Amino acid sequence: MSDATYQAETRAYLTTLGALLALTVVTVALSYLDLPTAPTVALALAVASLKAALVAAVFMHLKGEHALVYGTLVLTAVLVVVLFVLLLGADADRLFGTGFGDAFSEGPR
Amino acid sequence: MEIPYTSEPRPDTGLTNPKIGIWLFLASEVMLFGSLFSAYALLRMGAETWPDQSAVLSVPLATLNTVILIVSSATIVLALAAVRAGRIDAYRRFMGLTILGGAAFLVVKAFEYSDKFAQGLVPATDNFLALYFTLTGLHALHVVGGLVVNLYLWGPGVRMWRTDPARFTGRIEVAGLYWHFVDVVWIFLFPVLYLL
Repeated sequence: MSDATYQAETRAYLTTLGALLALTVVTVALSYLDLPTAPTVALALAVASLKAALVAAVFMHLKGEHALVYGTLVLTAVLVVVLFVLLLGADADRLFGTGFGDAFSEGPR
Repeated sequence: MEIPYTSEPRPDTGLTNPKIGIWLFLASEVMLFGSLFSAYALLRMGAETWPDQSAVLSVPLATLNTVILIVSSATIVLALAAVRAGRIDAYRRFMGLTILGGAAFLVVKAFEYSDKFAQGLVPATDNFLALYFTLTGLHALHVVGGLVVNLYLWGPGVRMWRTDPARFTGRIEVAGLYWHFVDVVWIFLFPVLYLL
């Protein structure tokens, strides 16, 4: 690797580090705003996802990674969603007011 | 016996064996932490009451730990860039800083834990603290694991640089991918456990 490439790469990592630290300040600042619960949760998770994406794309070199790695990660992401849906779905009647349980209760046919 | 495809890509996968291996391992780790995060979501959404997390835990200490881990994530990728550029002295400096970061994270975590214990706050106190200790405890074990590997690669493991530099570079890359993953987990743990 040439000196110029090395220096350019180092600069890119330091810029990313600066962005990650700035986003950490944003995360903490948001928690002091006392917004209602739903936007607070949505914003906090959005900022965390942005930080995770920066780490993955730049530090983990996912930008320009091999297709097999993408495939593995897409499959993992799908399975995590399935995990959440199954677990939260088990208590859906109480959590989201769905009526799945009614189908199994006794009553006139 | 020689381990195949440590440095040159395997023709069918297009990746070296360590690279595909670490990504498959990290995928399994995503499922492990994903199951605990989904347990957190289920227990919290279903709870009648939930403690004010930022009042129970120390946000300043957790913010400090967030900064420490993010900086150490940057220093390990700088270590990889240094190895690729053949600058082994710079590599040892950056890997040394990464190790110091990991150790500092654990020291801060130990302060947090002992402070909770002193107040009689333990995993059995309530669902929130049970989840807090399980999630941060598992994460801290991952930091310990990364620290051991990074220490080896900084110390005795650096000998491989002279005998097989390509394979050594692959090792730094794989150790870095794991360390970044540990950082990413904390990036989610911080707002979920301390701020929301």
